[in-house]
Amino acid sequence: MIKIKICNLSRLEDKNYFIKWVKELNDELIVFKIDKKIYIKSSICPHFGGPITYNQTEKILHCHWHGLKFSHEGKCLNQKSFKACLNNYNFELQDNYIYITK
Amino acid sequence: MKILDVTFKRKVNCSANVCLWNHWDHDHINYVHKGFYNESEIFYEDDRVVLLYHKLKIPLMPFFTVNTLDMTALKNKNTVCTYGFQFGIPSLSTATYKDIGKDKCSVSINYKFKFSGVRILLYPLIKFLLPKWNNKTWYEDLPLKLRRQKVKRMNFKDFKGLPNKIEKRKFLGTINFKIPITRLRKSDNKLIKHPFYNFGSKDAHK
Repeated sequence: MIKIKICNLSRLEDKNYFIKWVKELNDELIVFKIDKKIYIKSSICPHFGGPITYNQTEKILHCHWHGLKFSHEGKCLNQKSFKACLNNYNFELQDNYIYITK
Repeated sequence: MKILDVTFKRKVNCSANVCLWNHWDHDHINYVHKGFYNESEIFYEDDRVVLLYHKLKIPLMPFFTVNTLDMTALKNKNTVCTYGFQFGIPSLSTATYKDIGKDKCSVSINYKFKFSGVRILLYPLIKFLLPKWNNKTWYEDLPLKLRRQKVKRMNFKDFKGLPNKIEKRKFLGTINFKIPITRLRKSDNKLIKHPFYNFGSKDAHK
């Protein structure tokens, strides 16, 4: 099992989400917070690879290239036929830091 | 009669096939270039051509829209030609993408507009707007091309994403390009929802 330090929790205070390239995973991650609960997903849209951001008002993830919307669980919401989900990453909190475990 | 003939040349850190993909990924138009396009619909597409309807916003004159029907054809593996008819002015744009190194290519886009009759009066306006149009769309597309190149080098598969195993997230081979590119299903996709979309069979004349 690998354990990768992602960030301090304070990074989620202002914006409720941030995006970070993680070399060890060879993936770009989106760390976001909904109602005090933290989620970590891949921010690479499984459709064509577009960038995923978090829409705080609608509480959904959104791809800017082709308008795909994803739930916090990573499931596509607005394209019924689109079955691929955003990769999920398990994590743990330790001393105010977020660590990914894989 | 008067011909406006303008060419823009650039280099970009992605392969020619990534640029070609971006050119044929018409689905992004309504999101990435929404400042220029009000509406886009595909009437027909196959492995060489696409017939597209656009409602365009004119640069610097957002209150003004123009309906246009464009036919885009893959002339050869590097060249895409688009025949259009804006303001009643026939146009031809030719985009050529050539690999000039590993994940690097040159891009040349030539625009030709044929003015005749009273439409000659629009020559200075089109000449003025064309570099603005080209520059804006280039910089809107640039992050897409660079990111697409990056994810393809991570072994990204369309409609699937990255491989589950981290050690498989690397790809050094040739990035392929094939048209028509796979689109979201008709029921979910505004672009191909028109009742005329690919009406009938491609081989109907055989």
